Amino acid sequence: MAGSLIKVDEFTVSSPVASVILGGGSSGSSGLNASIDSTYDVYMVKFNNVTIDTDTIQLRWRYRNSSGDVTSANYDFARKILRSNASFSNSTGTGAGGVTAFRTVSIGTGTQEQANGLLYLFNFNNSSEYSFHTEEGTSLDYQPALAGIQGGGVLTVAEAHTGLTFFPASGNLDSGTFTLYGLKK
Amino acid sequence: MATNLQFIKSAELTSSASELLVTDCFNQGYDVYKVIISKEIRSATGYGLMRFLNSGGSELTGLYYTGASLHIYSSSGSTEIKQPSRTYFQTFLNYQGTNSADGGGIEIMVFNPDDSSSYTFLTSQASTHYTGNFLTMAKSIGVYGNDETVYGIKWYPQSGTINGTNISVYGVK
Repeated sequence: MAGSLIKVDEFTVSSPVASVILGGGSSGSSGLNASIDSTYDVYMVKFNNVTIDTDTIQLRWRYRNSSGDVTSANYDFARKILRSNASFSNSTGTGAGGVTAFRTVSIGTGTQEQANGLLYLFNFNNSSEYSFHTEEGTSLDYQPALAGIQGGGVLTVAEAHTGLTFFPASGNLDSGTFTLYGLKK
Repeated sequence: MATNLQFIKSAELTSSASELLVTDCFNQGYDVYKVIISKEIRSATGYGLMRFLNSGGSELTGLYYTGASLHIYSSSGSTEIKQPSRTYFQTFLNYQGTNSADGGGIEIMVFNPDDSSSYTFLTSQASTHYTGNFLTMAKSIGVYGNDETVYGIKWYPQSGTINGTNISVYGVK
């Protein structure tokens, strides 16, 4: 029986880049002209082995609409940060901008310091509903110590979104594979 | 590209109803199942509730449902919810409002439903919205603590009606 987790887009960073666009049609990093659309109701994003060329920096992401990155201050987020060497903490916000809202813990440039995670995307293809995601992340942070995030986010604008842009808080992405899947209806 | 996630069935509500049943979705020979709930619209703000169904599509009503959840709010703070020994998965899987855009989504992983000698376990994550605490992120675990095969799901709101939803079930090969 054919699988129901369908790979839609993928990009592997092989040389430093400022950002990776997953989906997003002709703007996408892969050149596959892939986009989040009505083909699937729910999408999954995997990112793994993501490293950044600058120390103590978060991997961040934001949603894209037909005009590009959405940077308006309409993002809400709620997450729990789990740390192997310190107390857990909440990280929450409403009406945040698209530069800072969605992010991993800060990673560094040391050996095996990297970010990995899974996102599920809901309602991205629906122009009359908010777009949401859930987030599960595990990283070796800048200390280095195991740290991860369980959480999610929403963009409280009723519009369709075609993809995600991943970018470091500063510097460039040095490595990492970013994959977009559709869940067959 | 073929993968090891296998679509089993889906059920959809496009008009108002008190519940949505997905029957015979877990007796498909897999150890683990993924349930995705999306496009949900509700008439009243509250939690989503769930019960398992037996082979005849009837509700399993025993005192076997236990859940624990962490709800984190974008407006600040979080709540630990503990629901031991209930007759259904009670008030923890998600919390959403009545705005048609509030629905978000829920992913539930169900372990061992097709094993008559095992309890049925679940993990769940939900990202939904309501006016007040804005985004509510729910991370949950649960167990149906009776060793029997469970065959399906009853999904229903804490109060009011569901005015639209979609439930898709997949087997993890």
